[in-house]
Amino acid sequence: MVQCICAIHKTTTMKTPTITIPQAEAETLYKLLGQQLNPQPEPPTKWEDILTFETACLVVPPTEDQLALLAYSGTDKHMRACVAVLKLTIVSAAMNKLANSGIEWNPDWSNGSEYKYYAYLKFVAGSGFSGYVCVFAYAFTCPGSRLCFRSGDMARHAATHFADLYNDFFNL
Amino acid sequence: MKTTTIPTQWQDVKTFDDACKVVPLNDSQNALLALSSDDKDVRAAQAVMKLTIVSRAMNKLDNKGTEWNPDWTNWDERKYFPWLKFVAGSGFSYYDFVYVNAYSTVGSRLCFRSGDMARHAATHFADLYNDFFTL
Repeated sequence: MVQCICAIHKTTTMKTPTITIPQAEAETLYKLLGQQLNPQPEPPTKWEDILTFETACLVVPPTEDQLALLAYSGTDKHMRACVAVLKLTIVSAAMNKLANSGIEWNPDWSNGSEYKYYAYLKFVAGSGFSGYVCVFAYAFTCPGSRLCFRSGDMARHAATHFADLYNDFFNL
Repeated sequence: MKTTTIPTQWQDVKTFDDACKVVPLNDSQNALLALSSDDKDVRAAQAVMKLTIVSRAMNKLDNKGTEWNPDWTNWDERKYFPWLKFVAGSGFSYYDFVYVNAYSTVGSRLCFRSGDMARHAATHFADLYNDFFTL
C-alpha cells in the first residue's frame, strides 16, 4: 500500500506533465490516502473509555433511521429531548455491551435477583441536573431499560460525562 | 371515530389525539412522529415525544389551563411519577406512583402534579411507556 502511494508521488514529481489513473484505482488511492491522513479512531474496549457520544457510536453505530433523528439541529426543546434520549440509549447500550464482554446487554426484568442501576440526578439552581447517586431496581422502574446500567459506577459515569444529554431530556 | 371535543379536565385525556387538542404539535414534532420506522430506538424517541405531550396536556388542564413546569428548587412541591412493574408476557404495567422533591431519574418530562394523574397516564398510555421502557 505504501509502495503504491510512493510510486505515484515519484511519478508526479517527474517532468512528465500528466499521469492518467483509472477512475477505480484513483478512488481506491484517495480512500487509502484519506485513511492514512484521517485514521479511524480505535473503538474503546472498556466502558470507562466512553467519554463522548461519538466514542459510543464506535461500539454501537446508529442506524440510518436513527441518523435521521440525530441530524435534527433545531431549537425545539422537546425535539432536543428526544434526540438526547436516543443518544443516551446508544451511550448506555455501548457501555453495557463493553461491560458484558462485548455482548449486547438487555436487562432481564423477570429476574428479581438482577440489579439495574440508574443515575439519580439532583437539581441545582443555575446549573441544572447533575449526577448524585445511583439507585437500583429489580422488577419495577421509572425510566425503563434504556437508561439503566449494569453497575452503579457506570450510572455515575454516564451522569457525569453526559450531564448535558440528561439535562436536555430532563428539563422542560 | 375521532371526536372534536377539547378535553377540559385531565381525566378526559385518554388518547394521544386528546392530548394534542390541548397541546398542539409543531412542525418538527409532527415530522418526528410521521417517521415510519421499525427501529425500536426511534419508536422509543417517538414515545417520549408523545408522553411529553400527554403529561403537558394533563398538567396544563390540572393547572387551570396554564402550562405547568415542575419547580425543582421547591422542595415542598412533590413531583409524581408512575412506577411500573414488569410482568413476563405482558410487559410493563402500572404498579404504584412515587414522588420526588429535588432528585429524579426521569426529570420533568414524565412527571405529574398528582399521584392520580401518574396512575391515569400509566394506565391509559401503557403502550407508550412500553415503547420507551423496552429495549
